[in-house]
Amino acid sequence: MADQFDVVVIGSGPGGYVTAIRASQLGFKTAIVERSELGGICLNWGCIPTKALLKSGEVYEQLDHLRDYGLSVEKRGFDFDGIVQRSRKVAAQMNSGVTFLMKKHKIEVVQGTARLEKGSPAPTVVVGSRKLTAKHVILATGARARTVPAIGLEPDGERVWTYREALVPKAAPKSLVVVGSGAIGMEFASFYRALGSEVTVIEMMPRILPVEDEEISKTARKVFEKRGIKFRVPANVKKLTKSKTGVSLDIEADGKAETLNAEVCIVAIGIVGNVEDLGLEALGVKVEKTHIVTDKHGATGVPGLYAIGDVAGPPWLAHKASHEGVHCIEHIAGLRPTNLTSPIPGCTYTTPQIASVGLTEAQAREQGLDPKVGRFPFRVNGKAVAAGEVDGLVKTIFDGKTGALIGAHMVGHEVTEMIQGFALAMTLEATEAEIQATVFPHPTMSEAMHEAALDAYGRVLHL
Amino acid sequence: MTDILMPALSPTMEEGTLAKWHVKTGDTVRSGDVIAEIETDKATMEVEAVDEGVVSEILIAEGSEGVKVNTPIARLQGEGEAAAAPAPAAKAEAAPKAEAAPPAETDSARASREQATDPVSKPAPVAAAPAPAKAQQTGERIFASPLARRLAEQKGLDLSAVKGSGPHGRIVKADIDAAQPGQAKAPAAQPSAAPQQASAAAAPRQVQSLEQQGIPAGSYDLIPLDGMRKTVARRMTESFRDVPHFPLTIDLEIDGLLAARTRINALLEKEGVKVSVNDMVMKAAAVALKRVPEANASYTPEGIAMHHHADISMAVAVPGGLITPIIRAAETKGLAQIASEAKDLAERARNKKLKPEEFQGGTFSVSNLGMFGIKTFASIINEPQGCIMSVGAGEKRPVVRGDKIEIATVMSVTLTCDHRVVDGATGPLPAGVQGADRRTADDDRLRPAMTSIYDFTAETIDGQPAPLADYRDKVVLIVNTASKCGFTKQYAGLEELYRKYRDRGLVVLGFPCNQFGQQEPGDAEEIKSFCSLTYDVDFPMMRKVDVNGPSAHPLYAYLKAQKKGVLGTEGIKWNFTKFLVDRSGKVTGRFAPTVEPKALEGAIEALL
Ligand SMILES: Cc1cc2nc3c(=O)[nH]c(=O)nc-3n(C[C@H](O)[C@H](O)[C@H](O)COP(=O)(O)OP(=O)(O)OC[C@H]3O[C@@H](n4cnc5c(N)ncnc54)[C@H](O)[C@@H]3O)c2cc1C
Repeated sequence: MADQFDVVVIGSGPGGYVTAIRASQLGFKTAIVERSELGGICLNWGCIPTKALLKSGEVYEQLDHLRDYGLSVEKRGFDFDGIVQRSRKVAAQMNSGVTFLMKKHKIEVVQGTARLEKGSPAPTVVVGSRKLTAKHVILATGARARTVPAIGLEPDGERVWTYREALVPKAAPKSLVVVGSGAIGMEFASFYRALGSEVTVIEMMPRILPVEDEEISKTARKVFEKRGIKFRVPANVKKLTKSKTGVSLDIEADGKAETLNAEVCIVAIGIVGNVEDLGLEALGVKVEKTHIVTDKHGATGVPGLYAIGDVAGPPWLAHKASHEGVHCIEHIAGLRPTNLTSPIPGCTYTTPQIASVGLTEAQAREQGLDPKVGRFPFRVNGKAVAAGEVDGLVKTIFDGKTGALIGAHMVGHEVTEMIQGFALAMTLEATEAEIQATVFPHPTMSEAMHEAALDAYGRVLHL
Repeated sequence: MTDILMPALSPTMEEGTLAKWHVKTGDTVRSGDVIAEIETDKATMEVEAVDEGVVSEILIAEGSEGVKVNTPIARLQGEGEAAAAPAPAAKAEAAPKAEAAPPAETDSARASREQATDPVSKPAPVAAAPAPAKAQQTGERIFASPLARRLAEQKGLDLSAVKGSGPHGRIVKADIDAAQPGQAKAPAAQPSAAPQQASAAAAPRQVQSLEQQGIPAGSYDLIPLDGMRKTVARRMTESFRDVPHFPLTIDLEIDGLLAARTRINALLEKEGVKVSVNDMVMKAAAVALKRVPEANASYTPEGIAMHHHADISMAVAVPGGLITPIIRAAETKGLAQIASEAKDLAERARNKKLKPEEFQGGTFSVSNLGMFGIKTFASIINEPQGCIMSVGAGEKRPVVRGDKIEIATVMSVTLTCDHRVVDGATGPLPAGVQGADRRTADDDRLRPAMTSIYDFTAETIDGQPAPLADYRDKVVLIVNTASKCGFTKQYAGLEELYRKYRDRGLVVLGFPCNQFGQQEPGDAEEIKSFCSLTYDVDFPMMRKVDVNGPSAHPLYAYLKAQKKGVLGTEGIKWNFTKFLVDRSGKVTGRFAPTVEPKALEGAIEALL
């Protein structure tokens, strides 16, 4: 009957839908099951709509500095609803793009919530009254915001938001507390601050953007503070209480008790994997800390069952989900993956932007690598000065012994568009010699990448 | 303290099984002592100690599989050396460990990103294949990532000795990490094997899984690839893909060969040797290769290697694969010797007891599927050899002779040629084999088994059979004659000798031959009348024969082998070479054309 497939993918986020496309390219008869929107969190409630909001905020904030560019504007203002509508339109456009791609690749889209039952050679996928059988089932059910109801860190849609609510509010709050200074928390802090909200960010770790290189997170914090964002670092939320007009958070910052009041609180304290109600337990799938345990090819240990993307563990990034999915299906198809180390870059699309790949300086030292570190600030980069975007720096980390590029970190204007240069260099196993020998176009902000590589070996030219 | 390293038994060997230890800790070994047995995909081989000393530590346990070449397997303590604590590093080397452990994760949301590496990328345990030491000298480009180059330099690794596992076979960091430190120098690879290895790094082929190709899992059993299967797969793929090959097939009538075989085997019976058709084919091939040396050659980037000897690799099926032990310099060996060597090699091949030098480095292969009834087939070239000959079954087939169909035993042989070495012009090699097969029947080396000229039969000039046994108890003078030669007047001297000693038991036999300056062009009738009219020849004249070359009369092959000419060569130089045979059929003398018949009187009288 029609419900027999080679591959069934559950979840249509960047992990799932990309896997389905690759599966179809490889000649598998493929179906994808989705309980809500095609494109998953990333396209509908994550990467893409946030970038639309951030752009609006960025453009609006630029207006503050028009005079610096010799420009003026009579009256500035914004239509908050218009900003949100644009973000939704962008998401809708990407979503229909996925619909088109599924059709183009003859992938059957099955609407509904999937559940697994024992089966052979792979578990059977049950969606409503349909039973889909396949040789390979790939779980890409993603993740959702972590909440802590016990202390009030739980969305109510009014005063307490997760990213979901934060993406489609009725109005911009006058004051806002963001709990968690990871990429998601900082992006909302950056956006709402751009529109004029009073924003305070609480971070439990000793510094903001804790996964980034310390120097980078320090530099970023300075710029955020210049923009008026306040921080409580390190700080713990003891209790959140709601009132009609807002929230109040009892926190302990730097060992001292404090109460923060705001109209709204955004909870951005990490995510949990969507592992419930799938029937994983009955199948004997191993789940640790809400994530499915897999081998390096995504195999769960249950014959024919694989897991990729957010549900299979960190880093929780869209491109990591896609990459894992492609690897998984190619492995299933028996293609030999190339024996390369592909480091996964991470980006935060705030003002200023943060982008990094590989090891931080501290990690390199922990590994006993004796790193050679180079830095170059945008302050002396011609293009950055011309563009009026002088905040930030580029930092490169080389293995002192072999010269291999082992880490690169950037903070500044549009650095998220540049990090792939370093990712490519690392994948190609470049050493300082190749990067130094590469000609970077002038004038570009990317010249700072070149200079940082030169600086690591005492050869910096413009400092 | 000396480390004994896992030896490379062959240039392609990457790892092996330490099958057995012959020594234990504390044993004293002398150089040359057998200390262990190593088993590879191809063979079991004994490892001999190179140095003297006391075994201070056994690093790899008996029965360990997949021991990489150059891994230390034991420690030897030299005489007088203080017993030192075993270095702990040794074990770590033996079992290469993964890279440094990743740093601890923070529990923050994207904490692990920093050190996250591609899940694909776990360095696969890529064995560094001992490979072409030549690659660098010949300036062949080695593809390696910048980091891999630098790491190799720092480790003192020869990149040409490392097999790349990156995109398009590029050498990446993981390959260097997996390479053994002892890899600095490629083990003495046979030069002839080197060129073909350069291509080992060919792009990995993208293969669809069986499932993807419609063969469901569970519908078959999977036999894991063992070393031999992998080696066969790799070598055959590389050869078939990279060597421009073409087949040439020819039918050989082998009735003569079969008759010779029966005869030969009867003679060899008491020695317990039995010559097979394949032995004769190998001998024939070796002889043919000497005549067509272009086919006994190997292509190398530096030039065509023309081998001095026909080292014939014979394909032997063994459980789980195929191996090709070698009959060295087969052209110099007699059939009896080839037969006994072949039997011994095949037996030891099946028991995995061949030494590497016994199956590496042949110059030409013979593969025979005749016993399975295969009519013709074209084998895949066994690099770096230039040709391989596939031998089909000998069977009765109709053949056209003149305008008649007759039955003959026919065997089809196919020569697969490397076109870089063998051109169309060399193609007639199988024809050469055909010529040689006739000659094989009269293999010189078998002569010891043929004890006198009485074993041969000639044909009189009138076409009557003339068994030489008819001249038993006579002294026989055998001369190759010609009617238009400077020496032709020796007919007179010969006739004189004949008449003088005929009654005392001398016989002169004339064998006209046209091989020298074409001075005997005429037919039997012409020769006969010339002899009687001009020189009044009365002694028996025989039919025209060849005395040299593959179609030489067997009698002459025998005579020449019994009495070589001056300078030790067998070939007859000109007309009127004389062989003197005593009353028991033994050849006692060989006299050059320049020796006048009269000068032989003394020698003849001595025999009479
Ligand atoms: C606000 C925000 C901003 C982000 N920004 C970025 C960014 O800029 N860059 C970046 O790389 N990453 C970003 N991320 C993270 C990124 O969105 C995720 O890493 C990515 O979406 C993971 O992809 P996935 O395919 O694993 O899962 P998801 O995108 O979460 O998709 C999973 C899908 O599975 C469906 N599903 C779950 N269970 C079932 C079931 N039982 N049956 C049927 N369907 C089911 C869900 O409905 C969902 O559509 C952001 C995340 C958020 C929340």
